[in-house]
Amino acid sequence: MTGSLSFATRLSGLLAAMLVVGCGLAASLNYLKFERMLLEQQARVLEILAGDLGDTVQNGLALGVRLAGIPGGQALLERSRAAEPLVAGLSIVDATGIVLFDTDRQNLNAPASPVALDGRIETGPWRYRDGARYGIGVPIINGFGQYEGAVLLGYERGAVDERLGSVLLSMVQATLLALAVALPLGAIGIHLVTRRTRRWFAAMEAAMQPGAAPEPLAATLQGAIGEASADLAAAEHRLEAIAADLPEEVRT
Amino acid sequence: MTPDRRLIGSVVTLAVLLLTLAVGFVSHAALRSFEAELKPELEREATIVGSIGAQTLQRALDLGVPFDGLSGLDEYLTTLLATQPGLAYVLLTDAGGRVVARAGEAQAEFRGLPPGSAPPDRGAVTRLLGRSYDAAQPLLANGRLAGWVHVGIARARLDTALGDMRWDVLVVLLVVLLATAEFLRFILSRTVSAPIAMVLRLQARLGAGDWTVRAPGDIGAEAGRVARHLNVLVRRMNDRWERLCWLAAESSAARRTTAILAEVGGKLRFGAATATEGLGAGAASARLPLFLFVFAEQLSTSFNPLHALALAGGDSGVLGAALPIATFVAAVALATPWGGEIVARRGPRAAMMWGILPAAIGHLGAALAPDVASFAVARAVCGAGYAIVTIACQVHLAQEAPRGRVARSLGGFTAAVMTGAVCGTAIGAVLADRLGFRLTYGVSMLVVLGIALLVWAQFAPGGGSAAPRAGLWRSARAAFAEPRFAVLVVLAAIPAKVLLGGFIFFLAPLELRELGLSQAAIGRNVMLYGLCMLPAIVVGAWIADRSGRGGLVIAAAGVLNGAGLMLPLWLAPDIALPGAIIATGVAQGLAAAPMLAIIPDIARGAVGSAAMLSFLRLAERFGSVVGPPAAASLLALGGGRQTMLVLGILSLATAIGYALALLFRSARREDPA
Repeated sequence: MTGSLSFATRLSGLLAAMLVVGCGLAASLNYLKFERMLLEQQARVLEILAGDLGDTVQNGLALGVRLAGIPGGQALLERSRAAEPLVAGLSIVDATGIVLFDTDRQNLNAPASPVALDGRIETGPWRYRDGARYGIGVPIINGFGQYEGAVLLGYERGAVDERLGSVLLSMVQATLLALAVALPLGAIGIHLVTRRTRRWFAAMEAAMQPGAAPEPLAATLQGAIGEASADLAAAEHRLEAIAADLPEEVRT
Repeated sequence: MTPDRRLIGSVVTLAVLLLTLAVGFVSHAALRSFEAELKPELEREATIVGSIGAQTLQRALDLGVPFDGLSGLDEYLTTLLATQPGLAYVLLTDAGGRVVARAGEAQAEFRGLPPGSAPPDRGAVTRLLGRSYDAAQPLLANGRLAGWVHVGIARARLDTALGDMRWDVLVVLLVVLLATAEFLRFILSRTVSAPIAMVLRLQARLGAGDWTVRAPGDIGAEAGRVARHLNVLVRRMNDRWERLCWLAAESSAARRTTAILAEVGGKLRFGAATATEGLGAGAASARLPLFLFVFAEQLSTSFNPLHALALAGGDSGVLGAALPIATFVAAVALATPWGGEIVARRGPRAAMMWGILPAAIGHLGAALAPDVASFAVARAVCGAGYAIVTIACQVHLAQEAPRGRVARSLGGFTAAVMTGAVCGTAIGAVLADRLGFRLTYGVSMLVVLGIALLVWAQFAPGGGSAAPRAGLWRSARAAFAEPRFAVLVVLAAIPAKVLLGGFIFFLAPLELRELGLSQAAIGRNVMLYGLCMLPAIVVGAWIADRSGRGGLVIAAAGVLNGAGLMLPLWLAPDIALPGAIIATGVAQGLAAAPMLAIIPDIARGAVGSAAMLSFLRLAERFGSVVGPPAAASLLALGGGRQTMLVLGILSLATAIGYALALLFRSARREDPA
């Protein structure tokens, strides 16, 4: 099947394929970069929030209150969650990982997800991923520099996905528009730039037909054919003449 | 002028134009929409920081402290600015927009919100001020607006990201353009250039009266139709000749008819024992798989040491990080003679299939390697495949090159390798930045499997020979007995590859990472080596041909390389490192062609050029094996700057040594007494 395709069609096909690959690569690689940057930016914003909550709790500890007895701890988490729609859940855990306060009250006094505390750093915030949910942990350090527990902030990437969806749609539109213009232009362009070569192939093909009209592009080939043909015709004529003359020679 | 003379140029120009416009348009739209989507996130960050800052001040106002009586504001704002990286400024203005306290660098055009601005019900008033996003949080006293806390997020972070992405788009465009040029060359060669050349060769033979030839029957497109018509024409002429022979045989006037046939036979040759004129497209057909293979291999160049370092356990495993590079090059060196044997016995196609298998397994192994030891083994397997495939392509190019154009064909080999290296290094870094190191190795494996399909479909089997080969040790002794060859190897070839392996493949990615560059930026910097080397190869060959002083070009290149590596003495690392990469690319490119061109001259009367070339390659591989561990040891002992200086001194010393050896030889030649 491909053997019957003209070289101009193959070139157009290749150009079309490379246009699709080029636009596709530019779009997909940009999309992946956007995704990473948006997730990073979201995490950065939420890290500031979690850090602020951690500071508030630490201020409470500085007054001599134990972590489990921080006044208004539960309300603080619920207020913060209500203020920031990106936050999916907030909890405060003690040094053993037991949940002391949580926006989901069912989790109270239960151990926090081990995934959330696996990457714990006692000197600064850390990030974790628990299934579809992302999270940020912030250590709570008392006035003596000891680790007392952590604020765990869980969030989902729904907001990022919304933005990514919008970016993706705009990129798909741009890609389709670019391809809709470039593909026909490419095919026409290839058709135009290959004209001379196609004419040459056609002339060579025509020049080899019996009784072909003179083809300037295939003059050398036609010359070679004409010369050989003339030699053969002359020889044929002479041999036929010999064959026709033979009986008379025999008679004489 | 043949009809394909301008075709390649026209088609490539058209492709470049369309691809640039299309990719440029898509990227522009993508970046614009990204900026629009990221802006609210940056504003949100400013708003949150502002609200945190405003809380404390608002609490003071709520406790009855008058706005004018707030104290320690500058210190407070400075602390707030310090706790949040990426902020341009934090300012406090009164209700009229006059700045009361400040921290950070607010731009000259900063103006507070005009008097009478209404505080928002929730959140902050956001706006773009110069190069910063400004979020203004209201402060209320007794229910009335008392002032504003302004937080500015510099656009620099967004601009850096957008700039990085523009570079990546340029890289994608460059890679797609170079790859398109390779694919176009492949298709045009098989369907246009080679068939036209074949038709012209056939035409010349027919013109000379040789009607025994046939065109190959397996060509496609227009060329296939021309070939079929040509075969019909030749057959028709042969039929006419056979008829003449029959007429002559039927005649009893044998002497006269024989004379007529002899007269025709003197001008024209016919016969059943026909010879098929080959298409001669093999050289071009080997370029594409070679380009793709090198492309696949080089996808990981910019991060191999980084991945190895991570597997070896952070900065403590610097020496371990050099191991995979060393095992790869060692495997290439060891497998090269073996690859040559396979090519000689089984032909290029079978050898390529044999080489592709370990390469694919190696890439898969590298993707799955749990530790540095298994990663090093996987890279060694890749190296074995690389050796076999590259030597098979080289032999295939030499076998298929038209008579008298072997050098040009082998020049195509270097060009394909360098184009593949540039494309692979650059796009590999972009892919690794998005997909991660392991998935990028997976992409390499997929490309290698694609090459297997291409080779299987496009390469003709066979091409092996049972000719006996000369003894390795005897050839080696004969080659190294020639002092000029030994000097070339010891003072030019090996040092050049020590620098290549030690600096470009090992040290440069690590040092660029130390500068805080992203993976994509590291790849772009490493790519500079190949980009500079490509034109330098042409320039080096031109200078050597014109001046006939290839040796001096090699010495000058060594000096240039040494000077480039010593740039950290005078320049900051962020300029010195790319500068050294560029200098290394230019220097190695300049020396590449003269080093090969000098071999036939040296080989005269000693040992064959081919054998000397293979020993030169082997010596270069040795240099590449030594380079990374040597650089790693120096790095562990004294740091990146010192390593570059030592490598630079090595290059300078060996180049000067090589120049002195040339002068010494020249002096001896002039004064034989």
